[in-house]
Amino acid sequence: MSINTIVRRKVILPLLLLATVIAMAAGAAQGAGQPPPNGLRDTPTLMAEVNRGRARLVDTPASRIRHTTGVWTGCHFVYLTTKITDYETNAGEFVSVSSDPDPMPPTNCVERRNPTEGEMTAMRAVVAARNAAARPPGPPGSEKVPEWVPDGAFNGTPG
Amino acid sequence: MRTSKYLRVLLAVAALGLMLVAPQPASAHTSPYTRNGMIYGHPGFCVNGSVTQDHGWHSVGTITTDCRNAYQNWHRQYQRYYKGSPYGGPGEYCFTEGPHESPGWGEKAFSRTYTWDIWNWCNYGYNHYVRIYIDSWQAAWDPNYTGIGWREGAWRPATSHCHCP
Repeated sequence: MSINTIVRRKVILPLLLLATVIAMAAGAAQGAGQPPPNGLRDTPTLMAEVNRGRARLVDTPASRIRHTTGVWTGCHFVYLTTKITDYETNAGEFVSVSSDPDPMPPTNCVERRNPTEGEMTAMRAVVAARNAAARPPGPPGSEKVPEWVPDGAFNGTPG
Repeated sequence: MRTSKYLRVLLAVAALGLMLVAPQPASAHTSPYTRNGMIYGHPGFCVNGSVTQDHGWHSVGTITTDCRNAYQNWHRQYQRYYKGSPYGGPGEYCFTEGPHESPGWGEKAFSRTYTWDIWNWCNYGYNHYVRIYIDSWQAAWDPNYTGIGWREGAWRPATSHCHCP
């Protein structure tokens, strides 16, 4: 057997095999194609329930309008919308699906910062007004109760 | 020479492998993050559930458990989304969802699923790595909770996922 044949069989071919295995493992590690796991109610599970006749579309005030959200660009708020589709399962669970978000517009913030409390208050007022038609009637008396923010909630304070 | 042909093939395979392991744009996949159960709440807080986030979707689900009265099946969810550098440093506010209220006192279980990546509204731009957080809290209505009404609780700390290498 020639030296070239020995080199091919015992060195180069194993190296080729090793390189191929490494390349394939690296590709798998990226995991780009992995489906998300099930949450309490993820969309694929919900759609399976709909197909089995165990969940149905429901017409709600929220599903008749696009839902408005105030999104911070880094220097000001923009108001973007999403589509809402509501379902109810035979087990009595209500599932609301948000889809089709408006694209974020280009922003040219000279300096990035967090919103001030005044900007947050103004944003909440705009959002509440635009979503008012979609909000279900709350329990009696709840409209008088101010919004609660728990200790430690992120409020935009740096640090 | 025959040996040089094998060397060319080896180099081609190595180049392919390098392409696969090279840094990807800021959309590389990392594991989803889920937090379940009640971690912190006011006395009488009776909302359980989970929040899960991953690339392309996230979901918040709540269910009232052992509440004192039927009114407390009326509950609400609230989330604040913010971002930060994956290497640490101050966070930056992105947006808020909620309060989203369950449709009525008959609904013990209430879920919201978002079929889009939070990154769309919460990023530092293309090819900039970012860690995205969901700070979420919930409340169940108690008409006997004088002056306050909503019995609240929150999962701590916030869940996150990363658009990172």
